[in-house]
Amino acid sequence: MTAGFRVNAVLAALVALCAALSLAAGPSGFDGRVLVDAFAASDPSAAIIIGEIRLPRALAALLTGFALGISGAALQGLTRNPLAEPGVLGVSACATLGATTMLYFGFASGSPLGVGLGAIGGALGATALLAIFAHRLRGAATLVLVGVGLSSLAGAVMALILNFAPNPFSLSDLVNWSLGSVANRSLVDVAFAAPPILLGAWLAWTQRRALALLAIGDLAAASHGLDYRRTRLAIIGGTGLSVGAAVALAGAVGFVGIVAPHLVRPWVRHNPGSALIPSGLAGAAMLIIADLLIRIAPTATELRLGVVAALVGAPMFMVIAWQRGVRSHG
Amino acid sequence: MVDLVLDRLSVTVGRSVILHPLSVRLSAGQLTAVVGANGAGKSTLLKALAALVPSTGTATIDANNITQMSPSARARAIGYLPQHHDFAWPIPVADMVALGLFAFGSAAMADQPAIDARVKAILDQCGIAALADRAVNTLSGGERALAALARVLIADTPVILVDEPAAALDIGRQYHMLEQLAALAHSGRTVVAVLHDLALAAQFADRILWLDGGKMLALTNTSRAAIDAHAPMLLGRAPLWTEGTDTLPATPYFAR
Repeated sequence: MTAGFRVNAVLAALVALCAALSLAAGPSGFDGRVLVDAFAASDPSAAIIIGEIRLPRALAALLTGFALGISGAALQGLTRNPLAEPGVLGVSACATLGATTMLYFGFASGSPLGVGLGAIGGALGATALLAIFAHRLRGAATLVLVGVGLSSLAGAVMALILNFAPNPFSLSDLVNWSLGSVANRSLVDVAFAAPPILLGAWLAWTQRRALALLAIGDLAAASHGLDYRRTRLAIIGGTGLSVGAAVALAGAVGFVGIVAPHLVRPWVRHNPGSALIPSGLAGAAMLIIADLLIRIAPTATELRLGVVAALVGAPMFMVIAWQRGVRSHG
Repeated sequence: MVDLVLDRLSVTVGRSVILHPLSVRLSAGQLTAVVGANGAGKSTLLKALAALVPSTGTATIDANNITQMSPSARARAIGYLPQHHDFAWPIPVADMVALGLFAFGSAAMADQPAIDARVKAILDQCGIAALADRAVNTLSGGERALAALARVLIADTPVILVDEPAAALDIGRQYHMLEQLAALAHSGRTVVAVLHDLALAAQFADRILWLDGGKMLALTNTSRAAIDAHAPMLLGRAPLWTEGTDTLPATPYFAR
């Protein structure tokens, strides 16, 4: 059993444990009996609670976290930048823009397919743009600045679309998309999101050796046989598919893609390729737990998933940025 | 044994010609030093030979045009040590060196014990066995260069291109590095090294390729007559030889 396999097995077990806790958690605290009843089919109401409400929610959190975690690790490996992440780089914002465009101009007409295609299109456009910038620009900070610009632009265009959209809409829709949530999702929503997320994750995974090689720099990597264009295309396509589908499912949830790779990297000897799957699993566990906290927190209105993720992730982003600054000047 | 044959190889960036058409045969079994002033086109020549920059004309090994080989086939034939070593993540030196086997495919990478043994042997050869578990970003400039050399050597390519390998090294390691490169050449490989130190080139290389302003002036042996004839373009004056010998002192090359 290799070290990488052990890390994945431990993290997969953690995800399963978090999911079980999430399924057992309800308004009256944790209740394992509901789970048993639901799976034994001895209590129809328990089956409905688990199957219709809690299971889609847990699966949505799992898939979203997995997509964001693996995409963060893939983008960081490609751009050689530990601050790269779908949220920070504006990929999520562009996916949100794509989704809302479809929604408000009636192309989607309520079908998750149209929204999903819009979100994936937005995410693909953003990752392609970033990959071009990353190849031309030197320095980690510059790329993050491009991402900030892209995020702001996507936000502004989204506000503009809200003003011109022929369909009725509300500001609360915008808030829903921007802050992210997995409440009230159905298994159909999950079923639409799962294939692009898994396909995208697989595409990124096919480049695991290339991402490891990129650690030594573009030029040296090319001299060792890296086909940079192919790697870039696979990572752009993979993260575009994954992040787009995740945003269509849960809105824009930030910072998972930065925190998850940062946590798992020491366990995989800092190899950017070996960090992919563990980052996805860590992201899944993080979002399931975050959603669980939201559900059991005694707040008047439910907290947004993206708010909880940002409360944890944003300070971590700043710590990583600070550490890099200290190292490069020290 | 594969020679590296250049036929009107040139590199143009925008409108400026960095490397003028160059035709020369770099023979297997020899260490060729590329010597020239800053901006003479030395690094660009090496990059063109590794197909890392677009070029016109051809460079061939074993009758294969290097720009038409697949990236992995080329990487199995040509090793390239860049001038700068830019490590993005704090991966251990041993793992970084093993990345040199990338072009041999995932099947070759599956046998972990064999790879570990090979990495250890190469680290020993480069004199940095003690650094195996150190994170690459904590290494000094010279240690980085040696670790990167180990990554190039582990692929055991018939052609080895090294860009200023001695620049960041202490004097003892400069000699060790050049001894290794000469030994690799004399075991049948084609080794091309950009060198700034004429004394090192004279002592270890078999031939010197003199570059000036992107043009090849000559490909000479390392005799005193050849160096006296071409060094002034580099030094601005005749080199100073150690009295009564045919060796250049490490520094200075000329009297003040």
